[in-house]
Amino acid sequence: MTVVLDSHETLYEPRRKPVVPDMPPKMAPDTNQGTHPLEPLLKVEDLTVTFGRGETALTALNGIDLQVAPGELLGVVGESGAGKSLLSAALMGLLPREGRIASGKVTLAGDRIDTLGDAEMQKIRGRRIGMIFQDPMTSLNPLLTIGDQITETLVSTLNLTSSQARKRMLELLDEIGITEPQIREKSYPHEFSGGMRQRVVIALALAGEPELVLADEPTTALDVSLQKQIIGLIANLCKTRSAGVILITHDMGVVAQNADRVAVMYAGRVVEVGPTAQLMTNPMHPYTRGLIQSIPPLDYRPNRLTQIPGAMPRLRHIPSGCAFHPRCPQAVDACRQVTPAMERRGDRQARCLLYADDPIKAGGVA
Amino acid sequence: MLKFFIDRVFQGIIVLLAVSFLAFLMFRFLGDPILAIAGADSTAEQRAAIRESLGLDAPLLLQYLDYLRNIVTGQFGISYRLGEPVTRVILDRAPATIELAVASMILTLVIGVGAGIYTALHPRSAVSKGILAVSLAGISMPSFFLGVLMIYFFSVQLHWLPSFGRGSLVAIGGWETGFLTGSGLLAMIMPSITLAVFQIAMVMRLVRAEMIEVLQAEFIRFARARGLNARRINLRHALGNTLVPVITVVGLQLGSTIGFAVVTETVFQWPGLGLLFTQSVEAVDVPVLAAFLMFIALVFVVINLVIDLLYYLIDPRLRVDAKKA
Repeated sequence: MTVVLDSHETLYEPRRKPVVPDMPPKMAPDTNQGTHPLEPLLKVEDLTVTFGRGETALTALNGIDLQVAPGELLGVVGESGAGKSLLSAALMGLLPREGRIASGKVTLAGDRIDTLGDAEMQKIRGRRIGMIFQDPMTSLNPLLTIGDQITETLVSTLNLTSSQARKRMLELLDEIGITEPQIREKSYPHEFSGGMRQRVVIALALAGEPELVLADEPTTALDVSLQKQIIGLIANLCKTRSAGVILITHDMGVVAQNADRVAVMYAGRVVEVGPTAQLMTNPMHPYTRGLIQSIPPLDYRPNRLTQIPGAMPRLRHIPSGCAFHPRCPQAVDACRQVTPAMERRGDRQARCLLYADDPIKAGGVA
Repeated sequence: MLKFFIDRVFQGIIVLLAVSFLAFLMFRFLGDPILAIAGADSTAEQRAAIRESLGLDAPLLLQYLDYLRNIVTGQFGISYRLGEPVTRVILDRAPATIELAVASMILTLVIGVGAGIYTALHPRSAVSKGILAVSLAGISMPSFFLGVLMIYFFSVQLHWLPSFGRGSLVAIGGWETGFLTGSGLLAMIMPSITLAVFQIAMVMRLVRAEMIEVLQAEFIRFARARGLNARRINLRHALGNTLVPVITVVGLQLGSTIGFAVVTETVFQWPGLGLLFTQSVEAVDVPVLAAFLMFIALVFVVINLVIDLLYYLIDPRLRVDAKKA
């Protein structure tokens, strides 16, 4: 499996960790927390989210395992319908009415949060987990000034008095790069551009000093030229607060430039997790490779952009075995029947029979 | 702001002018005043003399300007039926109707908005379903029927409430109010409920529909995600965003109750404008009808002006549009 990588390496600039040499296929000692120098801030274990009940229930998220360390930026990528946004809704306790966490465990700094009721989750939201929404045009209340919206958030989450909150609000506006905060606090959302509004959304998400920040496609609704600024702002603000970040995106390029680690999702499962550099330069899962190859190269103009044939399956029609097999160039017969388990290689994991130890299951692979 | 306000006032004046022209035409087309004054057996010469002495032979436009000048100075003529100045007749009756309309609007706002919020927040609860069923009855039931039903139970059977009139009144300046006496308030209960039932049902359904829609909005989800409590989200963020359509409807309803409380006022013999209107129609009392028309137009113009100003205060996006306009 040779992969042309030259064109993509230019995209990747390591943000804070030195590039780890290419993945050797050797097994690292299986310390479960090998990648985490610190106890993980967020630990998601076997999280399963279903819609509806009984026979007709649909499994939208299936056995998700993820970890985020304090100060770490985890990128979650995948095409539309992979379940990325549902993951953030589940973590926030904001699933749609029909959806529920059917099994699994979510712990935030040791506290279990998946079993909390709405009133208890309300104390988590904003205070311990902040969330940056996708579309800044619709995320702000059009009738209140941005200053009021930030101040009310500070009062609710940090129990500040209104004068303390106002002072902090002005500092926050300054931090997110809004000049003349004393004047701009009186502006209404419609008086701001999309990029400015998204900065305000970021300030609102971070107002309660959360330990974990979920950013759900934070630049999708914005001009591409703003992408780098906004993601950079999120990364910096969270870094200085040592908050963990889950950056959800369908854009492999965004992840390549900003994430410490990457989780790739497909049809409700995490199919590959690993440190960004290794995952980008030497993907394990064929789906990850497909995503990386479909990033348009910057240094030459290809005749045709590479794409993964087919489309993400609908929830009702998830294929048997490995859900990716109908689109996978390396699929073998076993892929149709066997649902691959997470296979570990050093810091990295992938759900693919290519890496299965069992020779019977992986027998068809040369 | 000032320009916005002046624009709206100017528009209102144009509306009033148009209505005043219609009111003026009423005199010409609803019977011949000359004939009424001179009697059916008068000669053509006598009628011509009267016509000349009253200035009714002048061109239409001049007569209209004359009429307009009188209106501006508050002179609407003498009621054929009562023989009193129309202005005094209307001003005597207006407080009764306005107080009734205000009482029913308060009921509408408190019950209608409250029930609307409740049913929007608890769409699946049994209470909500009950409220919705009752509101359907409220929209469907004719108000005179409800009024008669209430009179039967609360006046005829139980003797709790008076079946007609306004009770004892207190005069403040030229305004006789029933809000300050026990019997005045008691007398107001049944007519205001009768008038309010339809409006409560309608406002409740409107608030519910608007609120359910706003609650789906992304900024509400984000408000939850940033840790605000449910009360603040529902009352400040969601309700605030439903106010514009609600204010529009409530305002226009207030206008309608002031202008067209005819049925309710008749059922309860409420001495207001509605009753005056039916009596004037029966007597073809054109000066009163014309003045009534002008009064209703004025009420609607003022209410619309207030609604526009409220929009302006509630929704900052309209302020920008107003600045650009």
